[in-house]
Amino acid sequence: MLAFLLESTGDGYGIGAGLAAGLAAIGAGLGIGKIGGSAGEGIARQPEAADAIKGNAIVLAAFVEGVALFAAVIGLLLYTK
Amino acid sequence: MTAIRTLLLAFVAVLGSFAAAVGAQEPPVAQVPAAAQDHAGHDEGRTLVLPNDVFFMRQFAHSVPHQIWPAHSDADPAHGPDLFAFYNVNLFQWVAFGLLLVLFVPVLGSFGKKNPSWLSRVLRGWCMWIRDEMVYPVMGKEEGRAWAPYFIFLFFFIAAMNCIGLVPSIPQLHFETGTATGTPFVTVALALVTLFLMLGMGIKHNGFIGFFKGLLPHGLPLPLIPLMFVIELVSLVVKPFALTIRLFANMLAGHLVIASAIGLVFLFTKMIGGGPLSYLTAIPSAGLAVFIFIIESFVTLLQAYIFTLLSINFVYASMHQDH
Repeated sequence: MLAFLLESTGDGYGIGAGLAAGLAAIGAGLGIGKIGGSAGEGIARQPEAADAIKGNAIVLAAFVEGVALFAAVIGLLLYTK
Repeated sequence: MTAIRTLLLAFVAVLGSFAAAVGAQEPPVAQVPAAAQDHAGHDEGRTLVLPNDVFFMRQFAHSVPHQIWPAHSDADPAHGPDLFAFYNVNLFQWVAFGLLLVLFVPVLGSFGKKNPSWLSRVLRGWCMWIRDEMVYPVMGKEEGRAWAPYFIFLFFFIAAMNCIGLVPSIPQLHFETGTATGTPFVTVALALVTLFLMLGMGIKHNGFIGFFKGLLPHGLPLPLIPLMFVIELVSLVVKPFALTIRLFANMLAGHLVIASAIGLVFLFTKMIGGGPLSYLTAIPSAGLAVFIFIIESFVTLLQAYIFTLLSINFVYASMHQDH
């Protein structure tokens, strides 16, 4: 796999791009997991507030996802450098 | 009403066939190395002999808009960009706009009628939902009434552009589609509208001095004020920038994931050296691509929703700065 990456770009940028994407995925996974867990807990405690909680959870998840996508874009820039 | 709808559909079809005609002349393909030219007879051979990075680059060449009118003038680097050049993203913005006309002009006509068609009722309900669930909870009824039409248009315009991007291209039939929102140029324009609304409406409501004074939190110690002012100015610009990148990167990432899932077929075929076994690798790869495609069709609407909701929040927050 390493050889494949090196073949792709000729130097180490492929590895850097992969690391950027992977570390961003770790962070976003932790963030979205926490949002989802809290939203589920909140809905279980207060089922009548489920709609409001769901809407807010989706928007908050989008914020976290946006940060992860910044990292993904930087990974792409590295790869296509 | 049927006549109008048919006319508008014809308009979209003409635009689409125009896209097909000009898309055929100038495919946005990266440089194919000379070794690959020998195998250009059949497509499978050509894709398989491409180096990995060229193959990958071709997958997101469509995130760079290419000029379709006037044709080929960007071949000359000394000439510079044309002022009135027509790019493929312009075309698909017009297609999205035409699609909206097809969908919503009958809705306009359906208000006096007793039995509107099911499509008109769905779209009316959808507009009502945007107004009642997105605009009114943030802005309130009095102010939201004036703002609802713009945000309804914003939602459906982004959603239409995203959905057009999901239609697969068929290069063999010279039918090419493009995601207008998959390029940063279109999303930055949409976000700039939000930025100008934030600035303009904020200044209109609070006065020029009051707007910039209102950016700062109350009760700040004096030495912190210059620092906080700079930070708040930066955050004012970063908000639309984040809108830009979020929409663009979501659309681009979805297309790249689908392209990579399909690209796995070629990668595996290369690894096992061809042969009948390579047909088996297509089954999980195509299944993965279909799965991602289903997720993407949800993401198209979700991103339109998020862009609209955040725009509503930003514009309202700059009009009423009470933090």
